[in-house]
Amino acid sequence: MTASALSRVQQALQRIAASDPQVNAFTAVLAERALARATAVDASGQQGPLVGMPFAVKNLFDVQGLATLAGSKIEREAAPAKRDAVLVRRLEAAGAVLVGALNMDEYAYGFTTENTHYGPTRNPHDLSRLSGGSSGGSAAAVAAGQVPLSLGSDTNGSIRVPASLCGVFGLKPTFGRLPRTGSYPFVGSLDHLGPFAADVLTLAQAYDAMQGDDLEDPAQARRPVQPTAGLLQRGTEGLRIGVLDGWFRRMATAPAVAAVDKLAQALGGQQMASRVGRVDWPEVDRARTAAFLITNAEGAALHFNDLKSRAQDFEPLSRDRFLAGALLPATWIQQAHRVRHWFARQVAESFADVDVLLAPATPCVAPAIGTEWLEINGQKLPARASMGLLTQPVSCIGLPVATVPVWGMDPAAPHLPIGVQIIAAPWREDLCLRVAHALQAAGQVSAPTAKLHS
Amino acid sequence: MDMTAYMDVQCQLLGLELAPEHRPGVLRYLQLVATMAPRVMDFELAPADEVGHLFVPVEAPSGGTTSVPASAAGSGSGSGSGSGPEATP
Repeated sequence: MTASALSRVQQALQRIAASDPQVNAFTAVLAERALARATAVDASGQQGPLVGMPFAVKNLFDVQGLATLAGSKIEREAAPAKRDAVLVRRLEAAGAVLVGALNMDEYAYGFTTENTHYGPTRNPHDLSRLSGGSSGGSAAAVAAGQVPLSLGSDTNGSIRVPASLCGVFGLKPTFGRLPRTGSYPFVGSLDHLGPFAADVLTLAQAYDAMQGDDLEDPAQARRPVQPTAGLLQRGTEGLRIGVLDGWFRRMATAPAVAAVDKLAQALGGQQMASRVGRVDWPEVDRARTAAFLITNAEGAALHFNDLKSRAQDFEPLSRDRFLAGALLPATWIQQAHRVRHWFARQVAESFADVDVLLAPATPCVAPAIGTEWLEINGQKLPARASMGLLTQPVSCIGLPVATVPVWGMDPAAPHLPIGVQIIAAPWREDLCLRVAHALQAAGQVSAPTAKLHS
Repeated sequence: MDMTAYMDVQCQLLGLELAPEHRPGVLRYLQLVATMAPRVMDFELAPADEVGHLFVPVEAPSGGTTSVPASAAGSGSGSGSGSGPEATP
């Protein structure tokens, strides 16, 4: 017999109370609302896979009655949201119960969730390490077993990076697939919303429940609802799998490359019977640069009035980046958009020969909180920006990606996971999720709850 | 290239007054971006290589004097919450 919504929500609230002083994933816990909602769900007799499931959202999603912080100090002064974000409403319509809002990098401009205003979100698998970002609270809450499902956003890697570092499953759908109505934007040209979960079936069920047009979102693509959960059992047989070469192996440390190779070997083995080959996309570094420039300029323009009048109230770790972004020549940005589209056309051709591509999600396992520099490919690179080196070129062209956690790849940190991106052609989230599900069923990837040892 | 001069002129144009303590960080970041920008600027593209954005003209709200009659408008009337599965239990 399935547990009641009320007991599941009570259990989640207890777990949050016990573990969040260590993890710092939550910025608001909505106990009263959640308990009332759970009671109503139980009374309704509603049936379905998400009924009674507690979930939480990155605090850039509107939650009725709360100011939408987007990780900032400035937005504390904003009026409380009048209505929940569309995706929150859709999950609750499917019977899930919102229990809180989650920490993030300010205005989503970061890959670490080292938030000066609200404190860093700590990696539940090693509390001295980064959770990743900008949806760090969303990944950590699932990894810590606080909730089985959460929502985040991904502009350049903000679902995939924390999913990789915290060892949970994440889905960044195709750009334009899910409506963004009622979420605080970062870079409208690149922003995606998507779920995190501790297993692939929940990830697919949540994604399915959130699909559908929302006429208030001018940026959403008008696509038919294409459910995925019922397709997971189809497995991987006959799928053509590509391993991304070049930039995606060069800009990764040995454990990240080993994680990809482990999954490629499993997929090509007798049990999974896929065809595996190498694929090299052209000019990946130019695409990454294009995403970097578009992000910097568009993000700065969004916050320009506050940058002008109260720059001192911004997150010190990203304020100077935002200010610099306001000063870039328009020609760079326009050219970046043209390069982005050129790259999308080249990559589209690669999908004539493969169905799904594999690449590391982060260059390395979770670094310590406060890390300033990483060594990758013999280069000393700024740690905070470099965590997105392998995700940025993919989100830049809006491809759907499921991130799956692989364990024990780094001999120096065998207790930590690292994520692999499973990438498909636009609108083929079903293929990403089928491969992720098959790998989970084969025991190659998993998202165990952290034991919270410090 | 004198990036400090560029920064100051751009700030003046935009009416953006940088606090003294923010100037070194902004300059450093501007210099970093300037080293990256050639990766897109020196890439040869044809005039046909457009940005690919599709601007969708916004229709007049239903009920306005120029709107399409409701019977011919298809979806798009209603409260604006779209066709997603949003009914509460």
